[in-house]
Amino acid sequence: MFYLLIVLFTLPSVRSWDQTLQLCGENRMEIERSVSELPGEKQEDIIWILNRLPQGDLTGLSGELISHWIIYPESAQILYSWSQPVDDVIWRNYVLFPRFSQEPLEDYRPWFFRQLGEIVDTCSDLVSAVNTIHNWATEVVKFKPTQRRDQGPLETYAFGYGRCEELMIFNGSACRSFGIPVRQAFAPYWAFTDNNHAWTEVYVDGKWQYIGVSGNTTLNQSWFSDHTKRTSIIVAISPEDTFSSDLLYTNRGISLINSTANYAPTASINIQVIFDSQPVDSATVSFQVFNWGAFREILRLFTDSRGWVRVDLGLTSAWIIACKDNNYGYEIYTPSGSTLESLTIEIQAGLEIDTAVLMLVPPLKND
Amino acid sequence: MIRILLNIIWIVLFFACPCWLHSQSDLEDILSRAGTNNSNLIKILNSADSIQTERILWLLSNLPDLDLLEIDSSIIYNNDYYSNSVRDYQLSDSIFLNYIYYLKIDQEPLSNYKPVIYKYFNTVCPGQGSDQVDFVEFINKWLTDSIGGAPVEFYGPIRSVDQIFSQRTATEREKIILYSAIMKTFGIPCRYVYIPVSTKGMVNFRWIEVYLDEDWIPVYLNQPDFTGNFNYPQDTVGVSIAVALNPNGYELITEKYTAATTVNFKLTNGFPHYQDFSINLLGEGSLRPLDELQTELDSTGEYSCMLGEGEYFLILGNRNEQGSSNVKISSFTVYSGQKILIENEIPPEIPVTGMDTLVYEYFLPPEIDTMEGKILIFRGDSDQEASIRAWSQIQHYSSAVKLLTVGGFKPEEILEIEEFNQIIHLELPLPIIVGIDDHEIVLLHFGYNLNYDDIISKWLF
Repeated sequence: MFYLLIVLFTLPSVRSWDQTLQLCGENRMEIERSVSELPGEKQEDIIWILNRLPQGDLTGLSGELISHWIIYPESAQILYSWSQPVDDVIWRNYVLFPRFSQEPLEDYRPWFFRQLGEIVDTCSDLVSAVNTIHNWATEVVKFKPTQRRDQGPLETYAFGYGRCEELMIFNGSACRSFGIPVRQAFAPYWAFTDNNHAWTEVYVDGKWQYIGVSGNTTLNQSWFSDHTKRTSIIVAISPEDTFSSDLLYTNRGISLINSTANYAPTASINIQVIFDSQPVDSATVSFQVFNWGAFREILRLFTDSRGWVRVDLGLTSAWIIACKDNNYGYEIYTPSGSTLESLTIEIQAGLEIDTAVLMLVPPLKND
Repeated sequence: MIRILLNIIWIVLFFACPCWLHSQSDLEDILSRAGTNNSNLIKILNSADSIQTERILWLLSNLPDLDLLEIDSSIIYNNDYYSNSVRDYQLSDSIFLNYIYYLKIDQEPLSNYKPVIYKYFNTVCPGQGSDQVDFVEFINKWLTDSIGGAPVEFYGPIRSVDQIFSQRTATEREKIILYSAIMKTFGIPCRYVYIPVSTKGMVNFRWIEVYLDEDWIPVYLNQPDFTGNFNYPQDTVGVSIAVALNPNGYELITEKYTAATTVNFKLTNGFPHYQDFSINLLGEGSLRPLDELQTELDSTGEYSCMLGEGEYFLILGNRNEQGSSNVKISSFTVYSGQKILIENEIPPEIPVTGMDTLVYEYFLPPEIDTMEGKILIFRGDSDQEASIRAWSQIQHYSSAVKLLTVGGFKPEEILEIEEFNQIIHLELPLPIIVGIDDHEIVLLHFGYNLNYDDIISKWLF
């Protein structure tokens, strides 16, 4: 997760189709042939996906794998009565798109279909299907800390375990194989304790709802349910969901979506960055919480031309640090009970800090 | 069948390789970590001679699980063959194994790169001495001329050496990987070095060190003129700490690259329970901790480390039982050649007020009542992530306290502790941690809400 926050700000622009083809190397003919054999609207979908995949994927992709991205979820829509139709943006971003994170690209869709096809056939509705898939997944793969490199879903199955991000990839891949829109959600760092967590959000009945990736879990109920009410932010990721109302930003081929309000009360924080009493354009504003003995970044935004950023955060304190041209400044956000908060951060050269701050989190509830 | 084969391998190893030999449990550990690839690894080990087996087992024992799952016979055999073909026997076993035979460089997937790279560069293959210096510089120039830049992508893993080499594009990190792979292929020990956050605020400044004439020499990609110049990182980005990767993790080599100063920290008030502190720099828009320093107080409440000249920030925090923190941030400056002692008072815990009253009841079984000393009871579900995470935080206390564990139960059940054949009523969410001291329950925590390690440390010490 920490890697994500670093990577997001160095990402390239979305490629054109010509640029993508140039990166395919000796695999170019295979890619062009595979795309040309698809019907028109599906060609658009696949080109949209390929323009967002890394070069390491493009040089090894087979036409068969590309076709599986489409065939299996479309078949599920026909085969299973519990399927719910979704619009094109949701379908592209959260069903067809084969990736979640830094895992290797694998042909997992036929495998999940073989494993789960008969099991989900007994489900009466989408909620039941989602619960069934996740219950099956939590039986066959368990939580266990692993190495830094992400396992793909088939590797996680081969081991029988994975860390939370790998379990998210496993469960999410299973859902997408059956045409169920799913995205990764995560708390970059918890505010109330050390560590972080990742899980899945599924699109059911026209809204995003969460489900855990280990242990006993059902839709909107998991071991971390209480934690989500005590965190600063929960972020979801898509390749390019520009229509989401909670979009933090879309840039360079990836969308960050603020999903916090789906879990907990939030306050809208407006921050202006100034230098010499003048607003600062394109300053970075880094939001951090205390975790593992340090302030760890949970979100980074850039000020607009009037020096402002705005974000909805959970009702926990946040250390907010702004920077432009090596001039720095900071402020502490502490929830006051208001749903609308304003802060001004003045940046300066040679920042020295000697202060003590209270970083408050919502109280523990025994309900 | 697998058990029989394991025993055969173990017996062969026992008589053939007495110098560093793994125990049978180590071998079983490798095979269990290899997942479904374990039968292939057994075949490979069975067909190798005893000397090969020794090296191969060393490699396998140092690889992460995911690489053990993916590795195949061609990678293992070719790595063994090419590593030994180019081996300079003046190199120690340790240098040979860690920096040539260990074919992985960073987080890249393994690939069978040595035959491909050897074939490609064979005509400029170095001998010893000055030839190797020329080769080091030649490859740096070749990389600049032949490998195009590539953007850092969010999706997908770092590419393997084979992919980088064949696609002829690389990110800065991937260029380091490819360069190191070429060096290893031709018998030049090589390691990846970086500054996580520099004193001038740059994040992840990277270079390579090659081992020539019994010394590690820096090589900066795209900067061949600065090969061997130890001042280059300090002059360009400012050295805070320098970190060199090895198969077991990393080592700090800061003093090679800057006039590093020993900084002693003495933290009072709350000592010795206190662990949560960090040394930070401002870099690329935020405060960034130097996690590689592994800041941890010793038994006297002190910690020391080597830092380069620059402006740093000490962050100390104290989290209360509800999770709110009291955090102090203070700047300090490191000048070279000065003795530095940073004394700081750990901030007091925020008083917990307004916490909901927890409803629970318990009684101590008579057997526990008769026990002296401190007892720690952990109750969790081995299938529940929160329990596994909590358990990983506390299991090392088994050497300091009688640690009793009970697993596989559900909340709100009345449970029987096997060792005492008695019951404790605890109607709380898992995991549950109970500390007993002088026959009284003095510690009771539950759920994944807390830093158990810190809490138990405070209680025990």
